[in-house]
Amino acid sequence: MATINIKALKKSYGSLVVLKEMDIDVNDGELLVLVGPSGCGKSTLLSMIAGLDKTTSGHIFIGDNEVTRKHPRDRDIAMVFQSYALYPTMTVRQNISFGLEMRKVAKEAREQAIGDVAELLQIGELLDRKPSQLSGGQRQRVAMGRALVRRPEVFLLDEPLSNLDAKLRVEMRTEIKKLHARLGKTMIYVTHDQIEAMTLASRIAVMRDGEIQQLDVPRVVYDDPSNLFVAQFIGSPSMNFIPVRIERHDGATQMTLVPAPEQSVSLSAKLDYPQDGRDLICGVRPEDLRLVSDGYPAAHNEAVFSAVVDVIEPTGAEDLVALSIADVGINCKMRDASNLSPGDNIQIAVSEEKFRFFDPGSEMRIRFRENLIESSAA
Amino acid sequence: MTIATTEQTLPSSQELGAMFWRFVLYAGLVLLGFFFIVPLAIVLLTSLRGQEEILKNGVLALPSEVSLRAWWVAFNESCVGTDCRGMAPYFWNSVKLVIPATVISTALGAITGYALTKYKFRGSEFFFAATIFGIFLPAQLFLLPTAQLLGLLSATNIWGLVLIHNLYGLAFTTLFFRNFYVQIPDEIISAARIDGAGFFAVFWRIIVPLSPPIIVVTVIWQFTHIWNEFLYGATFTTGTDLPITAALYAVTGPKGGIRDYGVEAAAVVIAALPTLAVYIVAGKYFVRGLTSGSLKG
Repeated sequence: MATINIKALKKSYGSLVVLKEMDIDVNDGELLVLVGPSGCGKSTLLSMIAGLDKTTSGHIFIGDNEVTRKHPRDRDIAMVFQSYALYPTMTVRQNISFGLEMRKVAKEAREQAIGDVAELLQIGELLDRKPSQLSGGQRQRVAMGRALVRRPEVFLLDEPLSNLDAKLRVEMRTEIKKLHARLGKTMIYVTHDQIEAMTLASRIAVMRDGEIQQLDVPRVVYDDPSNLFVAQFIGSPSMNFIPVRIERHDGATQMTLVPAPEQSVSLSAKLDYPQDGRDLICGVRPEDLRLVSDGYPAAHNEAVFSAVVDVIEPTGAEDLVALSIADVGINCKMRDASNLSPGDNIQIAVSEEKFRFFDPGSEMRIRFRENLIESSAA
Repeated sequence: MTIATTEQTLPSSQELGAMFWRFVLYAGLVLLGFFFIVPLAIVLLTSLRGQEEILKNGVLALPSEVSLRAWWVAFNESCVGTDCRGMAPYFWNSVKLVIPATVISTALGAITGYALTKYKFRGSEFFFAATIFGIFLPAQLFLLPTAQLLGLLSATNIWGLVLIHNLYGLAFTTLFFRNFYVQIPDEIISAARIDGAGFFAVFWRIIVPLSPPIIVVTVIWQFTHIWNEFLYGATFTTGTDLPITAALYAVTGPKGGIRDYGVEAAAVVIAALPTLAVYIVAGKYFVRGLTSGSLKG
């Protein structure tokens, strides 16, 4: 049973604040992903949980024990590093065995444990090699093995896949997910790759400038971002943003595109926003846009805009189309854009409920009144 | 085509100029090489000649008859002051001095270098800078305070010198090890700490096995410096405690009196032999250790 509770944790180096007061509760068996751009403090947070960095203030609990000032070895954790950090002079066997030796595990028990881990990770034939004789993927496995062999309650993974090539990264990602399901241990996983975050996480914590922007299950973080930063950080290609002006006339809500004032649509939903005539930022995910054609005309709940095709990038499974509305670039995922060519004037449609509105000043999300009522009822 | 071939057979004036400068360069290098090897060659040759022959033919001459007499005399019968037991006791003095001084200062440098890079503490950079400052202080500066210290410890002997060379050498050895350990990724140390290793377990199991290149460099450096050191040896020891460099200054032929050039030359070679041997045996490791960069496993 290993929950992790972080209470009012702070880290600063002199006047430089790296982590602002942070509270996180990780459930037993959960895989929490810390994601954010470099310098957001995610690795520092992980180091503090590991005990490698001192806390400035606040508390860290693993299970029922406060570990804030404990030595890393007394926290019942294991960590996998981005560089793997294998001991260069030791063989794979010695690398894996080192932690057990330090904990004075008897030789037979060590051999048994190494055998088990080698079988689990299929590194049996590598045991007598040195790290310099291993490929990147093999080193990654050995680093995992070194963490697994001690059977700790908590695993900390610091960008463990960043040094692998694209194909191997996807493979290892799946393996880590399988391992997590099989072991059922609590894991904290740091990455800057939002796809890794989405695919692996039980919950995602999106961080920026030492603060958590949103902490929720991947689906909610993706569909219901709490602010502009989360909306643009999660998702690839990124969410499209366009400045709009919202006005109410006789109970109807009218949305006008600021860069293209001639394009205006009426919204059936009411915006829970105190003032009329304010500028907002409207966000739409690339996959929520579709091409309007004679065979597939716009429905009544869809807003329609005209745009010009700039570039078409086929990726095989789908085509990525770069459009522009006035001088604002818009990305759009289409199943088949082969009948389009650059320079075409097209109509694109998007369901009204796919709009996400943000305040341009505070960058916070502004919700439809209906959504608010629903969520407060639930 | 024809132009190209003539260009190949007849070098242009530019190429001729380059050849000329190359010739000048090599001639200069040969001359310099000769200049540096001549003293050693003369000493070696002189040590192989007899006393009468040297007196008859002068110092700068090839041996007419090669003899190891001077070597034997220098090692066993030459006099330092009134002590006519040869260079041998002083040679062993230096050995007794150089081994503990080298081993201890190297070991201490490894630990301080490790602590200064991998267990940084508030002010560790200042400590490092202060330690390194010791390198730039001239040895004469320490003569008086060191004399008082050794007097206080009643250690005006070989063991006093061991202590002094350890203290003075620590600045160099710390610098060497610190600069080497800076390249070891900190993540390896973090991994070992999470695996349960403490300060000394990390040192012995992770750091020391990575250290042979820099250990070789440090040992060679310390060995040659301590062996060749003269000022402290001459100042802080007396009589039969002199290291070989200090004894060499006062060496004369057997029974004293007349200068025996052959014996003096042989004594010089004997005094220089260990450092020469160390360079010849381990010189390539020295260069390799100094230039070794990557530790990526």
